[in-house]
Amino acid sequence: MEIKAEVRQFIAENVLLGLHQTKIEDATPLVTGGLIDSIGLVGLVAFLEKRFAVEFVPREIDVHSVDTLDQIEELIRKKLASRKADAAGSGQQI
Amino acid sequence: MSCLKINVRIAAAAYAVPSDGEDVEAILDRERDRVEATLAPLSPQARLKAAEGLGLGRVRVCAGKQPYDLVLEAASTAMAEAGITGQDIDLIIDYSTFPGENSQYLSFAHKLSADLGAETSLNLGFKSGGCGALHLAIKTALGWMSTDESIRTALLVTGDTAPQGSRSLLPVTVQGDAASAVILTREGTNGPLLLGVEVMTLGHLHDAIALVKTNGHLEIKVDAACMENEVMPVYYLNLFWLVQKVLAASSLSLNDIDHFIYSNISQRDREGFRRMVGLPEGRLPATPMAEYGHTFASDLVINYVHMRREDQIRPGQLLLLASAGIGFTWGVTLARA
Repeated sequence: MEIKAEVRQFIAENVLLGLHQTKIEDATPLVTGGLIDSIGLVGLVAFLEKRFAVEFVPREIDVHSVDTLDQIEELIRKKLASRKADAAGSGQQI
Repeated sequence: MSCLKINVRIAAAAYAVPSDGEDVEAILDRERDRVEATLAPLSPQARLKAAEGLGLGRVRVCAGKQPYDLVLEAASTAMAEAGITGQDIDLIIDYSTFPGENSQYLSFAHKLSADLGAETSLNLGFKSGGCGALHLAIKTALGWMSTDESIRTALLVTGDTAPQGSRSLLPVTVQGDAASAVILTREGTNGPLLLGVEVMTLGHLHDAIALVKTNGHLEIKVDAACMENEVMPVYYLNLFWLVQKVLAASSLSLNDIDHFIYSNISQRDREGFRRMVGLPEGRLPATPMAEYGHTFASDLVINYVHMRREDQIRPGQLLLLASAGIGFTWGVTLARA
């Protein structure tokens, strides 16, 4: 699963604040760099939850956890691994 | 149908503001040194934007009156509307954040209990949540009502006045003085039925807006960098989560809501909320914010009362009240008129 590529595409098409020519590198600061505002973050998190079938709780998301594609990928991978571990623990298959 | 286990309605709501007022421009001019010191950590661009798009022209200020006078006035008006006397009140909650530096009361709830003849009321107060405190008060009242059969009528009050020299809360808002009262009745027949309340606090952001003592006087300190860099990025996200949570519990969606009642922090903040809930431009109802400023938790009551006065709320319509404030606290209440 190419998490960064999908998130990059979503951001470029839906969230960027009128900066469609901006190249989003893996370490480009999205929130602290002003590319995504607080309303954009609402859309981004909704996308992540839906696309990757994960669920966040409020304390998990702050400016430091989703500021770059690298961080977003790490967050999603952790979520997916945790879900997999939970499912294995309860004997379910995902 | 309420997803709450008890039937509780907003039987009445009222507010009171002092007659004296002051222009926001004059306040910012008078507090210029403080404003500049607060905004200093921000970028030049953010400093320029701090006072833009506030939508606040004037605020009301307690001059001769004390916040308690306003609380008593608002409570009396709400009681008259609900058709109750002091003896009918079982619970009084004071959730004022800034009751006044010279307030001599244990809480406004205790003083009200005595002045309204609410001889058997349970009286309590808490200071938490600022603009989001109404939801905390409602949830607290629901908790008491759920666990104590004898508590059937609750009076929720707040009365707030800015500490001297602390009216500017830029880059966020400018504070006006006001008080408000809400009466909740259990198994009543009048007023919007509460469907759900959700509240959350992120304590690590507690000093984004804090009360400190400087030279023996209270002052509201805004940590502008924390607001801009820590609070604002997740401000609407947390509000959105609570909105979704409260709607999901009642099997409703944003499209079902007839009226969004949001605080008067600034016009740009209201615009952010409008975008968050996906309303078209101009669809958030006008409020008296230009005249009253931001009045902490009274904002929601003021806006609700104004909508009712203008006959905008029809039976059966869904109301979603949302706000966020110091703590840092987010809250959402859902009700059916």
